[in-house]
Amino acid sequence: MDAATAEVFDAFVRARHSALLRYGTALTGDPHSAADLVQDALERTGLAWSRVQQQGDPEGYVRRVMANRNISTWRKLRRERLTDAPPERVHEDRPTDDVLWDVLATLPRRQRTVLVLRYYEDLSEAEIARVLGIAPGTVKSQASKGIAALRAAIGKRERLWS
Amino acid sequence: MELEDQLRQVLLERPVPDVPGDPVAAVHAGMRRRVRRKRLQYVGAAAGVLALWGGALAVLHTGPTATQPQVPVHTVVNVPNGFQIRDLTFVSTTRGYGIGTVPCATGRCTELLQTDTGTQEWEQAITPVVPVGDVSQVRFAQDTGGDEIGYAFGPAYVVFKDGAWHREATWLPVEALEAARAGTVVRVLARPHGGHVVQQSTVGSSDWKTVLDVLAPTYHALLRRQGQRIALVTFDNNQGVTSEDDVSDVRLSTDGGTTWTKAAHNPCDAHSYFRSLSLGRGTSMLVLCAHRAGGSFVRVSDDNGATFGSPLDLPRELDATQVSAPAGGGWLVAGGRAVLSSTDRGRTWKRVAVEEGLDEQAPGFLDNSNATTVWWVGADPRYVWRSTDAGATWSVARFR
Repeated sequence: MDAATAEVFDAFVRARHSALLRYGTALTGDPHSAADLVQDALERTGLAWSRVQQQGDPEGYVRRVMANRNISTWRKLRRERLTDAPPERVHEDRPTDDVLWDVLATLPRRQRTVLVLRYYEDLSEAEIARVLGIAPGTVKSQASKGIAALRAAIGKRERLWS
Repeated sequence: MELEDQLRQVLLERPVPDVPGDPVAAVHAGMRRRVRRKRLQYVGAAAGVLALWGGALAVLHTGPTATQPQVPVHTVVNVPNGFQIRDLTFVSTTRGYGIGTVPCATGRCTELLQTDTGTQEWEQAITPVVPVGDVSQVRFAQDTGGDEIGYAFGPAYVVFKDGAWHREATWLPVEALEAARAGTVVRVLARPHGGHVVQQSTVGSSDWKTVLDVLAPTYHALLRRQGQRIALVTFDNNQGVTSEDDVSDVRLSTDGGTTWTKAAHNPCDAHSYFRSLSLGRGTSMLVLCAHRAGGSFVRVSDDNGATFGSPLDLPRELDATQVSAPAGGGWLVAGGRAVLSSTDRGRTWKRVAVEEGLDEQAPGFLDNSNATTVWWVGADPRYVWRSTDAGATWSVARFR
C-alpha cells in the first residue's frame, strides 16, 4: 500500500472505527468479540483496499464482511464469553434492555445476524438476502424464528422470576 | 412497546466498548502479519518442490533454441507531456485507444489518445482536453453505422461519440464493460450491498436493459470476450455461508450478452483461488488459479466452461497473474517480469517476453482482443508489449 493510499485508508479506519465497533457489538453480543471482528474485517479490507475503494462503498463492504464472518465456522471456534444471569430482577411488564440483550446473545448466530441487519442496519429482507447470500424467504423465516425465540426466552425468564 | 421496537432501541443504544490502543496501527500490524504468513507459505512450498521441477526449468531456460525471449527495443512513444496511461484497448490489429490523464488547469484531466500504427505513433483523439471525471478503463465498439463509440468508466462514466465526450454520470459503479461483435455492449454494475447487475445495450444507445441479476454477495466482477462469447466471472468471499472461501462463479453468454448460462462454480478448487480467465478458440476457456500453498496452474474447458480438465501446473518460480488464449492459438501466461507461451496445451512453457528492469512484483495485465495480444507491465514507466501473432513476436512501447 503506497503512502497516499494508506492515508485514505487510515482516515477511513479512524472515522468509522467506533461505528463499526457498535455494529460488531450488536452482531456478536460481546465487546471483546466485536473488537476481534472489526479488526479481522478491517485487515481484510485493507488488503483489498484499492478494489474496495473503486466500488465506492468501503463501509458497506466492511459491514458485509463482518456480518458474514460472524456466522462463519472460524467464529464458531472461538470460545463464547457468557454473561452471568442477574441474581434477581424486579418483574416488569416488559423485559429490561439488559434481559433482552442477554437473550439476544443466546440466539444462533445466523438468527442474531439477521435481526441485527434488520433492526440495527434497517435493511430490507431483499438487502439482507444479498448481504448474506441467502434467499429472501430464508431471511424471513430466520427473522421470524429469531423474534419467536426472543419472545419464548424472555417469557421463560419472566416465569422463572415470578 | 412492541418487542421489535425495543429490540431496535437496545441495539442502537448499547454502549460502545472502549478498545485501548491505536486501531490504525493494529490494523496495519495485522495486515503485515497476513502478508508475511502468505509469503512464508510460498517460500516453504517453493523450497520443497523446486527440485521436482528441474525438468520444467530446463525447458524454461534452455529449451528449444529456435526461439529466445525477445530483447525489448523500447520505442519513444509520441504522447503529450505528463501523460500517464491508465488503460489501452485495440479495435483492430493496428488501431487502438489509450486513456490516461494529463496536467490541466484543474489539476489532471482525462486524455484520450488514438493510434493507427499499433503502439508506435499516437495522437490526441479530443482537443482541447477538458475535465470529464475520473475514469480508469476504456473500451471501444462499432455501432451499426460503422462509427467507433468509446466507453470510459471507473468511477465516472463517459461516452466518446462524434469526436466528443458525453458525460453520462459523475459516478456509476461500472466494474466491467465489453463490446460484443453483434453490435451490442454489456456492462456490469456493482450493487451497493453486494451482488452485481449485468446490462446490455446496442452500441451508441443510452438505453440499457438488465439481462442478469447476480444476488449472491459478490464483491467483484470481470468480463472477458471472444467474438459473440462473453464470460462473466464474479467473486464472492462467501464468508461463512458455506465452507468455501473466496469462490468464483463463471457464467457464459454465446449471443453477445442477451442470455446467460451458469458455467462452472469455482473452476479453481477449495485449496486455490481464481486469478484470471480467457476465452480461446471455439468453445474453449482457460482459467488461471493460484494454489494457496504457492504456485499456480491452469485448467482448460472445451465445452464453454461446463467442465474443466485436470490442473496443469506452471513453473513454480512464476507467480502467474494473467492468462490469455489468443485466437491465433497457443496459451500465454504473464507474471512478474515475463510472459510464457505454450503451444502444446500446457505441457511445456517457454519465455517469450521479458522486462528485466522491473520489480518482480510489477503490476501487469495481459489480454487479447481483436486479434491483438497486449501485455503491459510496470507503473511508471509502463511498458506495453503488443503481439499480433499469438506471442511469437512483439513490438514494445514505453510510456514515460
